Amino acid sequence: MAKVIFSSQLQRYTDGVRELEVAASKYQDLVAELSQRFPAMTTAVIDKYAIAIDGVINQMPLLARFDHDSELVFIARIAGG
Amino acid sequence: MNQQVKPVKTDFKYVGTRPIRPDGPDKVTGRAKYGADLNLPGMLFGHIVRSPHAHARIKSIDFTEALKLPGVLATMCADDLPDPGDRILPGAEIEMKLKDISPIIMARDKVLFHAQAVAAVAATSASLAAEAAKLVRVEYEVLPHVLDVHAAMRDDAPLLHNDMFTQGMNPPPTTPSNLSVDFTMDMGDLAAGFAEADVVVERTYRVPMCHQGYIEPHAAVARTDGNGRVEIWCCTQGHFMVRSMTAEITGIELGKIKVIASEIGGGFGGKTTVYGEPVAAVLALKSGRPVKIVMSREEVFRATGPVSSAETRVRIGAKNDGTITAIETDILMESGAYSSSPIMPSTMFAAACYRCANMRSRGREVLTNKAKVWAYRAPGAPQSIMAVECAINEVAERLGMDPIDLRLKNAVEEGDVPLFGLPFLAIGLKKALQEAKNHPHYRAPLQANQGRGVAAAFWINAGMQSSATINVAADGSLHVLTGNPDIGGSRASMALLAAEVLGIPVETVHPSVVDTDSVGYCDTTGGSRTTLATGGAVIQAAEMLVAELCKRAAAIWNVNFDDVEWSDGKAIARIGADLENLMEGTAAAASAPKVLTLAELAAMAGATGGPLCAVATLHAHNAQPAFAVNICDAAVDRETGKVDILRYTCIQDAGKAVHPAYVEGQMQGGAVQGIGWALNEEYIYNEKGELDNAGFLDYRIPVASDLPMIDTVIVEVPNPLHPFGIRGVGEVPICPPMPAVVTAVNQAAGVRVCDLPLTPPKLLAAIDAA
Repeated sequence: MAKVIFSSQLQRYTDGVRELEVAASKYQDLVAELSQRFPAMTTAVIDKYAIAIDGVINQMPLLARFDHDSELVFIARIAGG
Repeated sequence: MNQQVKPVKTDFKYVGTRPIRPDGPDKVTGRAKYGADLNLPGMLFGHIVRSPHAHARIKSIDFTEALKLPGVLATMCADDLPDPGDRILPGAEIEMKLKDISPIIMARDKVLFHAQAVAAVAATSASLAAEAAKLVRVEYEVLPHVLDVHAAMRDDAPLLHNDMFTQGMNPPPTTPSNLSVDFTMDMGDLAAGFAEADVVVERTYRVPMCHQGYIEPHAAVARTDGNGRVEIWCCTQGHFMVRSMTAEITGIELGKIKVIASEIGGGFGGKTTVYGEPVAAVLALKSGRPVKIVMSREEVFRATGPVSSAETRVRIGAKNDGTITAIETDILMESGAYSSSPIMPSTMFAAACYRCANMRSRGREVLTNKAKVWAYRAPGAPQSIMAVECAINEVAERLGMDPIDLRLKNAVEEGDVPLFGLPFLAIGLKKALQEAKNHPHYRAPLQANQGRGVAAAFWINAGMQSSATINVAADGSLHVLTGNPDIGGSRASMALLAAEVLGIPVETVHPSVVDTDSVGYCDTTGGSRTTLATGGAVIQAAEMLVAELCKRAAAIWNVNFDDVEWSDGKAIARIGADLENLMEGTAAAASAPKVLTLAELAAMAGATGGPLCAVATLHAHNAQPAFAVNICDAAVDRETGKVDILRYTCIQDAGKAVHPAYVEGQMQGGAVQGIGWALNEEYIYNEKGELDNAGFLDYRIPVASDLPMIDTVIVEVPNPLHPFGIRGVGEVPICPPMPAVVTAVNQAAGVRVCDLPLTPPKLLAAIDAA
């Protein structure tokens, strides 16, 4: 199962949970799974973040897929100058 | 693992060379057209009416007297724009609320900083428009203002927005305040980390509000056609951004807007938003005439994106052997009148260069009655990195350790996980540090009243969306069309990348930045993304073109596609002769015709399937971070406090330098900007909330005579996710200069001034007090 790591910012939506294994292998399923597990972690909250899948940042991950051994990290969207 | 990574190319023929820049001749001969250079028949001139108050309620706006002047043909104010409501700007890199953008174009209900736009007029001459602007009667109810972040956080501070509740607090606050964001990131056990430290350094550093300081003021010309389409010509870092933001702000349908980017005289992040473009568009629609708006230098300083000031408290603990055990940062960042500061990256990346198990970083964004801040290279990072790097140097000093050795001992490398949680892939920090240590500069002796500072820095870099089109002309020349304004040499890079894939001389590749109707879509030139992402689209388009050329050659020769290879600008059939002999021209005569050059294939395009053209479009997810290390030598005159920068060296990991001269230019430019921010540049407001130094005479940026030749060393640790190993190079150069300069100056003067800029009066006072 893929592992999701929550930053300290996001942990307030996950009741302090820092790491979690998920059954999802597609981003849309991941969002649904997280929202179901943590009601405070709504789609609106998740949409504010990009997701890094195995170290690769995806700013618009709607169609992203990942493997059962992937590591997923939500990361704030960063603008450049 | 999810990544399907192709091997990174390492042998290059054109990439890594230094051809003459394609935009160079026009720029040095004055032929290049910048934002203010377009003039159209019947064109009007727009002038913006600005608030004389730092905080006031707008009671009424009356254009009657202005419209009485013959030649005044249109006026506008916020009533001409749709109410932004709670809309989020679609497609924005980060979440941006329209209500934080639209009032910068035209204030609605209240003005929140001096010189905020409240109205505009268009007239037949610039002087008439300026005269008419004076006749616009705006009635204000003046409100108390606040200019200091600490004062702004007090309970009795004037409130800028009565619907702003601090984000990030748990539980959420029930009363509004000027503290817009307050969040903390942490890992490990900070208390335990400091408990095991032998040395703890704690300081508070202040970096002032400054300006990006681009030479070309904002300028735009808008015109309409008979079908209600609006065409905007402007200097910008992203004309697709201008299109979408103008549509959102004005309510004009996006499909009815076409934007053409002029040449750009500097942006550095400050031209990743709009100011006069929507105003010109509305005035053009209302008047039916083209409208030009060119900001004065004073307007640029007063009303366009200054850069956040920041106060950073840093605390670092280390063992006697140099192992860093704990790092804590607490950043208070000023955002001006609307929430838009880069507090997030400032907080996340402050100590990203260091492997440390115990870290905490708190970030707070505070609103004041000053111009809304906007991006500057590596937004937010220089301010917090400044504090961390100065503290690292102080830790080294306390430990009696070489500051580069201390950094080498703790530097992040592949596999390390920083505070923001994303594990590093292959990175070049240690290699850059080693280059710095081995550089002759680092071993050169110093004289009395001289000091040396070093600093390292990180920036994450961006990917995002890009498109590219390559057209092949009948003579085999290539025309590469992209949609990113060229602020740092991207046209040369696009030409080199296409030449590399096609195997043709770079001089036969003609790169252009085309308008929003003429190429798919490109996110803004910023985030160090253009060579990586738009260059990636060019590489893909060129590869598609190679495949098409091979297909057509196979059809001409009546051989299988798989039997055709593309090499050095030619299609070669592998049947009848081996490749080496064909390339050397020693193949048997019967095999000789089985070679077709690009020019020959282009000449036959009509008979083999039509014009040769390739289009690629992508969302780049392969950006990887950049690291830089700077060394600065400075001398301080103990009688006057004057600082001389004696020697300066920049080392940076570029992944792969596509055009090394441009990479060096980015490094040198970043160093100069950082030197200016450290020594001279600052916004000075008077008690009425007016900027007192709104011009280059009083806001002093470095000039050539202030600077030594800035030496550069390019390190190349390829980005493992990019086909050519490219990383972005445009932003990280501004991150290490401030701490390198401040450390050198303080060491030279024998003081520790933490409040930037280190002006002569400030240094002299510290020297006298020491």
